[in-house]
Amino acid sequence: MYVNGVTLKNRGIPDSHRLSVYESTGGYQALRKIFSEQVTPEQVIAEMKTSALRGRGGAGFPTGLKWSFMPKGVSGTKYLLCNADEGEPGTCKDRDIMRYEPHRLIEGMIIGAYAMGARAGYIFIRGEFIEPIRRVEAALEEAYAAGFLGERILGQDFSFDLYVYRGAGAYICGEETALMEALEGKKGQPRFKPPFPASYGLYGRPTTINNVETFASVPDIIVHGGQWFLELGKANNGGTKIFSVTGHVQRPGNYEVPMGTPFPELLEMAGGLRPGRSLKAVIPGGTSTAMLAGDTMMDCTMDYDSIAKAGSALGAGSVIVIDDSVCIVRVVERIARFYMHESCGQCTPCREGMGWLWRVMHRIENGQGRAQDIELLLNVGSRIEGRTICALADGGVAPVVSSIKLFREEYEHHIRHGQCLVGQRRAA
Amino acid sequence: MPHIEIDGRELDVAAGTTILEAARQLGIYIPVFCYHPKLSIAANCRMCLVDVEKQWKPLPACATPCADGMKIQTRSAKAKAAQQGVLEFLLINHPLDCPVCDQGGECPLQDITMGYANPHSFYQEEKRVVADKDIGPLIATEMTRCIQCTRCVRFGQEIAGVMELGVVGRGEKEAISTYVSKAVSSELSGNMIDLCPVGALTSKPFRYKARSWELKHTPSLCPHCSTGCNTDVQSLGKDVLRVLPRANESVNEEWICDKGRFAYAGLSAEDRGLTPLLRVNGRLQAASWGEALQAAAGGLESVVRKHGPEAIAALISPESSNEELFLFQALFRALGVTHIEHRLRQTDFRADAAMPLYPALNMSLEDLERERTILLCHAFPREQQPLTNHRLRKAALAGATIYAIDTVLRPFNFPVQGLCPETGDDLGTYRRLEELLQGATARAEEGALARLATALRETEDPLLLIGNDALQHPQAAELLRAIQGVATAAGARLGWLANAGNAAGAWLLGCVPHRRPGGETVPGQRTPSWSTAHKAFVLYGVEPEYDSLAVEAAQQALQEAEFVLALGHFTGNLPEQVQVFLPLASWAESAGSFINNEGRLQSYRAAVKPAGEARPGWKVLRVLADHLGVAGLAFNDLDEVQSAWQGALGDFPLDVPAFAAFPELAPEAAAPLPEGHLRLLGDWTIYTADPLVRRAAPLRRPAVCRMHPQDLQARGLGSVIELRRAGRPVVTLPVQADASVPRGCLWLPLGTAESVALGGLQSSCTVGRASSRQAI
Amino acid sequence: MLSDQALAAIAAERRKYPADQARSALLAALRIAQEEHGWLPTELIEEVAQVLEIPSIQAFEVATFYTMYDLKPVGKHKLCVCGSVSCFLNGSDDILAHLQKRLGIGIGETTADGLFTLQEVECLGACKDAPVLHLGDQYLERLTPEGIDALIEQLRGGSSDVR
Ligand SMILES: Cc1cc2nc3c(=O)[nH]c(=O)nc-3n(C[C@H](O)[C@H](O)[C@H](O)COP(=O)(O)O)c2cc1C
Ligand code: SF4
Ligand code: FES
Repeated sequence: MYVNGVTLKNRGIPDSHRLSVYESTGGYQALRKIFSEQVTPEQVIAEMKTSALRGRGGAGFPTGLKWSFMPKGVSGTKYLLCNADEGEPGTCKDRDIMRYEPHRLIEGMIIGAYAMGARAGYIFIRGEFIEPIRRVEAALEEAYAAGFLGERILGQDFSFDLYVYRGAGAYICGEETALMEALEGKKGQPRFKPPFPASYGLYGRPTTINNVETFASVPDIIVHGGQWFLELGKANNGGTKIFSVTGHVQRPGNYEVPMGTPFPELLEMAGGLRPGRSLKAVIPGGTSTAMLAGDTMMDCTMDYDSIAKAGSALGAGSVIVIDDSVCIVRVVERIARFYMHESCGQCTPCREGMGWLWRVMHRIENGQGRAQDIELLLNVGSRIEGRTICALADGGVAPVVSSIKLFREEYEHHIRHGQCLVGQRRAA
Repeated sequence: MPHIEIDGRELDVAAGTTILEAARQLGIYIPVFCYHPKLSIAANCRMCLVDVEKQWKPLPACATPCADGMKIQTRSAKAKAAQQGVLEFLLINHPLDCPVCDQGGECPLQDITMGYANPHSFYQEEKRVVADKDIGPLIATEMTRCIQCTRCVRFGQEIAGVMELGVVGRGEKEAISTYVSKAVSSELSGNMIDLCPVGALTSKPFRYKARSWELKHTPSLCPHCSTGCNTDVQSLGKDVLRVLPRANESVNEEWICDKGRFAYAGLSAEDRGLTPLLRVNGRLQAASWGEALQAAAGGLESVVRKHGPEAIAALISPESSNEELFLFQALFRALGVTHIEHRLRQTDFRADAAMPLYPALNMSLEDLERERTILLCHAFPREQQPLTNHRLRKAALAGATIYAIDTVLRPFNFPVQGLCPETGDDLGTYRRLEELLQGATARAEEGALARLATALRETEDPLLLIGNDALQHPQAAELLRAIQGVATAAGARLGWLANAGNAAGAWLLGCVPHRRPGGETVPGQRTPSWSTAHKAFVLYGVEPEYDSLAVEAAQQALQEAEFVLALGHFTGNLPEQVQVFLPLASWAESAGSFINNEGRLQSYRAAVKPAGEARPGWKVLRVLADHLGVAGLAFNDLDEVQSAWQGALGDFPLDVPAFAAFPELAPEAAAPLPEGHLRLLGDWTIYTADPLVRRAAPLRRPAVCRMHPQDLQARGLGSVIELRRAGRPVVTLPVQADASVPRGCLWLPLGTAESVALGGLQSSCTVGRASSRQAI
Repeated sequence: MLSDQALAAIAAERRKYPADQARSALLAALRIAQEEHGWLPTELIEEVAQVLEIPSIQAFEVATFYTMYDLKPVGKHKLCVCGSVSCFLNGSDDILAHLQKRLGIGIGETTADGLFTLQEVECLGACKDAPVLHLGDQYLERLTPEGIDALIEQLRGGSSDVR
């Protein structure tokens, strides 16, 4: 199934997290190639651009372009950060990369540091991921011992230090500037942009941040070339991508497939639906992306452009499958609770609005909905969207608004009859 | 220069200008809550969202820099919808208790709600209630009203320099808090009350006293330190109910310190002198002005007859107005009195001839921010001149290196490289620094001093500032000369941090024995103020025991005086030798002028009528002159007094040489301490600075003394100690360990009942473990 | 309250950051303090602030913002059941209900014997293995009521190797 695997290709091999295994399967060849063939930083960035690798953290920003924003010739430290805060419901791929392929991530970061002139880096791993943290820390130790990190890497005039930073429980730290705040020992509250991290990032220094999967894609791009990676996927959507398929499927899991794979194929890999069930809805990119109807989804291919065209976003590739056994109001109430709980609290619309949305959803779900509540939800949503510092709030509005659009009758039924149209509510 | 358009009006702005700043330049109003021009930009309230062409999202005007060609609409449907939406969110959890809220009438939330809100709310869920925390006697909290704009938090971190409030919790559960209930301690804390755009932080002393629109506003000045902050005294009827800062970018920007904000509470102290008093059968009793004035004149005349006018010491507070100071010295000089003095907090006057025309900063407060290397010489402006200190803090944040030499180092709110010799030999430190500057080789243990010497030598034009502690030093003359030596050797400029509200006026207008108004020298020998050679004392606005460094000497001198006349605001601390008391109007009750540390002449008006029968000082002095038969002072109004003093003083420079030539100073060997005794050090704290401040209940803080931790340990002392001195009551005080107090010393807060009981700093004391935790 | 070991661990964390960025070690220092003490009483948070030479309110802010800090005592085993959408779709509510019944406590409560604290948390980032529970340094995945029973037995029996 992982024929074209890039970032998780060693997962099945025993001890794949160890340096010896990684090296025996071609690990650190990209880094060695850069030095032996005297590939310049500019060439690395050019290769990244060719690859059409788009950021795997959710926003899908072209990685090569991002790397080219890093200012050159500035004095003082530049930083490279890895976003391993993975906390969006439905997303669980970075964890596996760190568990099974930590060196691939590290090698990707070293190459990034070389390309952008970063002197130090931090891998920000969410605090609950103890096993991945230990794996990455052990891998860092191995990499230092082998001379891939630290002063004068492989004897070259290039030094890079890399550390693990442990989060402490806050989804918002996945937002890149909140992550920097947290790294500075503060509450993870996003910063207003501009200035952007490339000019004012960690400690006010030029900083680039990428997702785990993004970095893990880098070594193969360097070894095989950007064109090779691009061709794995489709134009403007280079490479393979891990899709975390969760929810109502028989074999939930991480499936690394080429960009552009038809959704039905992915669903099939994940074991398909449970017997007798039909596909009701899919959240294609994590809970912050709009819900799509099952039928719509069956016509999509798994890439940024196709999903965007269908009215949602590929996000981090977190495909949440919802079958017809469950009431959509219940699902969305649960999602709304997440955003209330995770709002960092600084922007008025998010701090006040997320709780408001959840309270109304909760009320409807508990049979106390009012006739005007659907309009109220849409209205409150419209007053949150686009009016906050970061995208968390927009992400919290999306499931509510999109689900009302698709399943308005379930909401109306709930309000009118005080109970689910579909499925059973467990007795309280 | 980006060229932009706001609401159809075009303008060019400097690069980096935000939309909000640009709109303000055009006079276009955009509502804000979290934005404040003196604080960092948070952009969290989202109230200032505006509609920018080609942007799908409305953008926060406060944080968005203008880009060339931007077209901005502040009142388009999109902008309005965004603003209204935000306001609704702000209100859903706000209690809307305006009728019982002290902020009512001056509440941006209320005002903006009037202008922007949707008339009815859709919110029908339960409102959030936030627990209050007691954060001390100055600020009342009602945190349910808070809109989380974080202005107060940013103020603490960025302006006050001590972060005491924070936002704890997250999301909708977040709350402004100290976390553990504790008083905020910053000397600038009251400004948070002004900054809070809702009624979450309000003034505790002002609570429920009045509605803001009922108050009369009088532009005034703060008399409590030499910064000369501009204030707005707010009153209702005969009572001052509030003092707020009045913006003056070149003096106090828009802040005042807590001393200046809350001292007014002392105006209504129980011992406020409301009528003239005469001592009859050993007790002070109310008398008419006529009787009292007659008795005052009679008493003075009899001393003059018996001992000559040189036997009178006329002592005046340096917080008096120029008008009072001028008339005071004119009156007593006319009588032939030579000892006219405002410096009760100084004991060594040997350097008098070298003193400047007046203690001048020799630069503007604003320029202070741009200094690069500053050495503070025996100065703790954070307590003594809080808003001058704020300029120093800004200098420090902008990269200045600030050093301090003192006997005891105190907690600055910016990085200071402090030198305070553990041996207590502060004088020697300056002398040694001068030697190092002149090329002496540093000894191994002199690393810090050598670094300071290098820094002073390497800086283009360093600045030395002389603080209150220098004048209060027992060897002030030598200390000042040593400071001058350092300045000369370093090629540094010297400035004074004038030690009282109108110290500059007191010097310029001749309230020192050796100078007339304008600085003309009066020849002759001096006796100390508190000398038994003086047979009569005139006390103008001063409380001898609380305002003098030499408490014991004051007590002795008064003991032997034949006549004591007190003019002042309060009767509680009058020495028992006072025979006549004349009640004076406070600064809030009369008009006048002060000269601040920069040499800036500023005047103030009366906000309320004098309490009881108190009268403005200039009028009292004029009538007293009349009774004493002194001619030429019969001024009809304050303007005439003003012209008179200005005529006598003439133009005075803003830049004055910090020192004239020093006289020969005969070396004085300090007497050795008796075995087991501690040397006493001390200073007036921000809340004991003057009679009014000492009476302001909200500012009262328990007195705490300080000792070196090793001394505490060596003597096995706990957290409360007993101080003993022969012939004095035992004083019990809490003690704090402070490694910057030299070994063998004890630091005492002055101007307190405890320091008076102990007899001030004049000699030494022994200490022991306190048997119980009660005060004296 | 902090042991020499904890102080050394904090000092080691500090070395990861530039010398003037001691505050960066705050999250780690609070974690180290909590690991040693079990939870974070006010005085301990203040001590951490002191060690890092930062205002204590900054430490309070952080300690109250992140959910992994316990500001109240917790049981020996803190069972954090994920209730976010993928786990929810796979029956996390039943797991939680089962645990409440088995332990006789509500969400956020601790058993009288001090052994267990039960919490519902948001997404643990292991959605494909739903329903998931976070316990100490491990994740327990694809939970079933029977598995839960075995887990409780094992923990009560003193073994925390529950893999
Ligand atoms: C609320 C919020 C949460 C986010 N969480 C994550 C996350 O857990 N992991 C991640 O890589 N990116 C996350 N992102 C996206 C990051 O801000 C950022 O775009 C990303 O790390 C950039 O890396 P990439 O270009 O490699 O995708 C989040 C964004 C938002 C607004
Ligand atoms: S949108 Fe929400 S989470 Fe994002 S910065 Fe604003 S308050 Fe914080
Ligand atoms: S004033 Fe701009 S966001 Fe608050």
